[in-house]
Amino acid sequence: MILRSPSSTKHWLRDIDWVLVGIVIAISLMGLRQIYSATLNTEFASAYGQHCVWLALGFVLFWIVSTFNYHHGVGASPILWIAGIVLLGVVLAFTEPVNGARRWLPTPFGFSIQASEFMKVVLVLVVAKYCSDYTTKTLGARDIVTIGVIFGMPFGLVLLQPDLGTALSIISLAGMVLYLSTIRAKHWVALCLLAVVLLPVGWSMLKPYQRDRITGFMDPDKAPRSTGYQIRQSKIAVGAGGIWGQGHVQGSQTQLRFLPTPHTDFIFAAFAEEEGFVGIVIALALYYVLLMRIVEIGKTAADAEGMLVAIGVATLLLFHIVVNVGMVANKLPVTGLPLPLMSYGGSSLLTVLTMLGLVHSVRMRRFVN
Amino acid sequence: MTWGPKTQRRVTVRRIVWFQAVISAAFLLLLLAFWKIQVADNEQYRQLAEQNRIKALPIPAARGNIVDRYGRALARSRIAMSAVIDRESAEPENLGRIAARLGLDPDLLAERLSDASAYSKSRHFVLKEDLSVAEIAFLQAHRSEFQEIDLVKGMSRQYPESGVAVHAMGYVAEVSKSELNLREFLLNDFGDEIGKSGIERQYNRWLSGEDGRQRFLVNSLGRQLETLSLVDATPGENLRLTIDLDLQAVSELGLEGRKGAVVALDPRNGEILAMASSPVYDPNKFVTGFSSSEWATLNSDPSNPMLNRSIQGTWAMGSVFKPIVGLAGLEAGLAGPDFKVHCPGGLQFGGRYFRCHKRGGHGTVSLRKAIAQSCDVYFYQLGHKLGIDRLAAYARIAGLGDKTNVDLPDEVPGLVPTERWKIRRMLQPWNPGETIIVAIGQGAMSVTPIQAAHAIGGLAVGGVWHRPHMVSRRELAAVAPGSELPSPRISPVAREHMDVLHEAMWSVVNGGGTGGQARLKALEVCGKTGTSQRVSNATRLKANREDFEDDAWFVGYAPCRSPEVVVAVLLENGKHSYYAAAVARDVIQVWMLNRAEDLLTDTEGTLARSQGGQG
Amino acid sequence: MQSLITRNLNGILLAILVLGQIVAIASQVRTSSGTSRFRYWSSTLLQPVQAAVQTTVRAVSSSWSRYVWLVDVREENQRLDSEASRLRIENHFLRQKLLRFQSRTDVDAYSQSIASRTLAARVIARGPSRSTQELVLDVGSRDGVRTGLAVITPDGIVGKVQAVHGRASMVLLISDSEAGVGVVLERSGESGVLRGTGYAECRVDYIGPQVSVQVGEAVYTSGLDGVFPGGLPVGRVTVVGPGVEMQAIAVNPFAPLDRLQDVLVVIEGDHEALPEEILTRMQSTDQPDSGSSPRVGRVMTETDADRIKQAYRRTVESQGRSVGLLSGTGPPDFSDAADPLRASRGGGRDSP
Repeated sequence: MILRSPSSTKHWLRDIDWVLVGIVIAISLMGLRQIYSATLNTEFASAYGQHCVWLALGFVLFWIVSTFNYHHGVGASPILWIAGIVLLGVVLAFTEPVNGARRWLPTPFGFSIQASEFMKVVLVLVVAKYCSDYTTKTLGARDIVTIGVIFGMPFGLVLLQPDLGTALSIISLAGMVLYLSTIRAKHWVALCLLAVVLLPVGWSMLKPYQRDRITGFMDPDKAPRSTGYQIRQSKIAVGAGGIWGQGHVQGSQTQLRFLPTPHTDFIFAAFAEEEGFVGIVIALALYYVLLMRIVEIGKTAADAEGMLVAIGVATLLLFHIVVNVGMVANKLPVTGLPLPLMSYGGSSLLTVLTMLGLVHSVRMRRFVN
Repeated sequence: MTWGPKTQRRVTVRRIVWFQAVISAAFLLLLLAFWKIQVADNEQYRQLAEQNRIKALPIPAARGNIVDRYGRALARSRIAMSAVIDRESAEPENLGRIAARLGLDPDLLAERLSDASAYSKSRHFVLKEDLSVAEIAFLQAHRSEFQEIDLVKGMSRQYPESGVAVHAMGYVAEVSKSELNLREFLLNDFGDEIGKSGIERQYNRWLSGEDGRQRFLVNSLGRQLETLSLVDATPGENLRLTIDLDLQAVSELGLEGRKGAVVALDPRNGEILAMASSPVYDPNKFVTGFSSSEWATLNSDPSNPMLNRSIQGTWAMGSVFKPIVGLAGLEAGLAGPDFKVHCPGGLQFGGRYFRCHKRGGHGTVSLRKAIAQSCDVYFYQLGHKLGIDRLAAYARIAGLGDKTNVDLPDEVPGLVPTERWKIRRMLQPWNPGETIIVAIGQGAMSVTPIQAAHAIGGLAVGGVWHRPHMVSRRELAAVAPGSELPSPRISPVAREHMDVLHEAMWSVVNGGGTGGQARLKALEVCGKTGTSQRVSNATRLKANREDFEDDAWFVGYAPCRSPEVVVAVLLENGKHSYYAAAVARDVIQVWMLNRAEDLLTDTEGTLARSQGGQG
Repeated sequence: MQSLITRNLNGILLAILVLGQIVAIASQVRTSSGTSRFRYWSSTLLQPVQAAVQTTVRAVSSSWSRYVWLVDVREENQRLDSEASRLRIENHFLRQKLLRFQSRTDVDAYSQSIASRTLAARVIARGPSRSTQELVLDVGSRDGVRTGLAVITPDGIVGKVQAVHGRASMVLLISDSEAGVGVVLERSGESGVLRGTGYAECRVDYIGPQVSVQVGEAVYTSGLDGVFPGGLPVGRVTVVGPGVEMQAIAVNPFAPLDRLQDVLVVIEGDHEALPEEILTRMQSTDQPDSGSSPRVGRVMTETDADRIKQAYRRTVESQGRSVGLLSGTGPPDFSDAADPLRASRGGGRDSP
């Protein structure tokens, strides 16, 4: 393992990917502005100030992570993975469910940890460590079992919380690894059969109320009213936006509080109402360029680990964006995943910025070899 | 670790390019989805958003007051709070709690909600009118939970607590689904209060105003942020009736504890001065709501309190019919002074023995004595001579057998039998024995109390039958432009015939006749009693049942020569006509006292009044 | 410098990453509902910089004071405060009910009502919007709080829980213009509805003009609204104005709504547990059942029709007779009966 300092201080400005950083800042500010508008005159008015703090913390974290060599993170990933599994287990075993789900690990300091967010970052690194040679060889049965263990355990633990959105995002990452690998046809068939067999078995093991929760349609902590109400109000908000939008702090659905959680899960609906189709085009374009940039970084990465880190992050971000925006566009069910960089919430923001920091680290080291 | 061989790297990069293609496709699809919602369907969602944020609440209009001929209130509107429900945002899980607290049947409420979406033009309809303080407290305290409910200040009907003119006045209640299809309620919407019977229904359009509407900007918690527009309600017009509350009150006191009806009218113009029916119900209950047990009791009551006996109940007319038979006899030249009949207490006719009500017989009687003493045998003979069709013709001239077309809904016509009627109805030929039964007001013939007052009153003023009405001719011109009272039906009675009948009916009251109870010291009252059998005497005595007892009639008018008031009293199962005569006497006494008082204290006013009454 | 970093880079990186993640994720902020346990700052921050500075300072100082400095003392103090509040209100209940209940059965009923569980809570913020009168409490669904629960203090009632989050709940104060409370007046026992005005004073609606109300008399909850148990103190009448349909009555709430610190949430044993006897004793005519309860706006004086009919009835009865009585005993004489009614007859004469 080559341990190198980051690029010399003289040239560090040159190594910054200004496109990536610029887009991240642009989306974050759009999100911040929307959080301000959506929480004005509500009991969440302090969210704006808090989000500012989280953004500041997040960019510091982004910078720290991107200055350090991602290989060290990859190297430490087995320990982090074990730590993550332990945390997930503790959450399941020792905490009381809040609104029907065990997601929070309380600390003695008065706040709680969401272990599944931590696990997302760890999984990206673990993939880079164990799967970097999969692109160069044909996978054996042993490799497939490795992948199964790496993803299967966190997936199962998160599903039991239950948190279907996060669990599915883990699956999406596993799918990407398999896609980039070379697998024998018989293994493909075996995997598919396993999935077909395991799905109904796992489903039947859950209690009815858990099934309801897993489908995400009846998640009670979203809003006081039913999911149907959320979907309907979200659709009205988006549609009422029209081409030009109703203007900042002007959307009736958002400001009169018909739209549920307009600063978290449904922030994109609030944005669509106030900024209109034009705003949507700009926002989606920014996300698109961001994802393309990350994938490009993966393509030009110095090594397979860097490529896998970048592609893994891109996969997770794509999954979150598509599930959230698809929900707002009324094409996908309500699963409760936040929109990366825009939704209010420290956990999600810091996780995403950490992952982007890893990608940036890959970028800054693309000429190493 | 490094990239593998060049070829492998190319494979990987190709896969990544495919991944990029997938990203592009996903974003394109999302963009298309937003295009569809935001640009293509924008108008639809804009309207939905507007419906969300704008709440339009009805402002119920006050119904016009109903007053008597002197402007004294019979029914008025008062402030009340109503709960209105927004059928579109009604949450099924809330309905149970709301229904329980407001004392509504949850199934009925659910049914009304589904009906509302089918029938109602607006989103809101009145869930419950006239809330109690407890109900308001509950709804107000749960505003954030029950966002579909709003409290609006409405107007509720208040009827006299002591049940005055209950049947004539009618009541208001929510319009039914079937009524919404009627032409008369074409302008009404689901949940509207409409007049269901009586005056309330007849003049519903005049009395009901037009609801206003208030539009608010609201947030998702239902908080009203600002008023966008306000259209005030237009209250309904007041309605003045021809009723005189003094006569009405005494009529009702006379019926208390009895079943029956009193109708008092002015025979000179057809104005109804009093219309009472007993037993009564509480019309206020239709406003505040019945409990299910109260409703069941009201509906299953054998004495049928909902029936307006004055215009909706028919009874055999009994001897009250005799003056009309006498008129027929006189006009036909059959009952002249030389037509006398010996009454031995009964008449053998067609193989049957027809009794007179006086067992010992009346001896030899003329028409005058026959009316005064109510001799049945005389009228058996006269009726037989006249024949059924001639009898029926005169009965019809007097307005029997047809609706009087009083301005109240659901009047019944009664029945005057003829030969044709019997053949059509029973497929049997007329039996001459039936004629002599009809001649004493029994048999198939039946009349309503208002017909009795109308018939005798018209006869008493010399054969001019004005249509009875509750709203005066002058008032009607304002209330319902275009609809006028028809000219009276006139069939002049010869002066000498009139004298005979007046004298006979004077004798009934003042000449030792059957109606002595109606006698007043200060005023000469004429009239005719009647006691009509419900079953045969033998059956009545054997069964000893309350509802088999004879019905008692009295129709009286005063003053004798130029009648200004006619009072018909029917006491169902009243046993003896003199009870009815005593009630009529008290009504006429109040009429007389009031008239005298008016003359005495304010000659001018009385003049204006009598002109108004006739105009 | 460089070599130092290089040598320990693995360890440093691991430490920073773990720490970063913990900070990152150690957020009480829940992505789904955005509710935090203690971070409800009251004002809207207009400048991001100002907001950031303020927020950081507050976060640091509050965690410093709360978790590092005197943490035990503070917790203990808070617990004692809550306990004291609970005891005070229990004491109040006790005194109130003892006055009311004499018999043994009443005491039994009372012991049931005292079983009602309350939860001490601390006010952590005022509502953000000026148009709404709201409080934020530091208890939420995790503590068993549900929407619709009554919030009280020993002095008087406060409001109703309107929205619940995990560790916080919003209380709609009785002074909010959307709020409503079923109340009874102390002297007359007459039932009304307390409405907020958006200002400090509230008003009582639906008290008819015939009821005597005095400035200074107390107002209690009636228990008819389905939120507040009956018999709790509400406030004192400050203004009584005449009105056609209902009197204009202003009430000053007992509870200091603008500077509340500790309140009690009535978790269990709400109005339903209160025995009906209280209600009947307080106000014999006013039952929650819709049938017998008085109607708003029903004028106590009769209609003209009622007056006339009653006058005739009295006349007849005073003569020991009745209408339609056979003349053998002498018919009733109405000649003096109609006298008081002349005025009413004359009234309508000008416009027949």
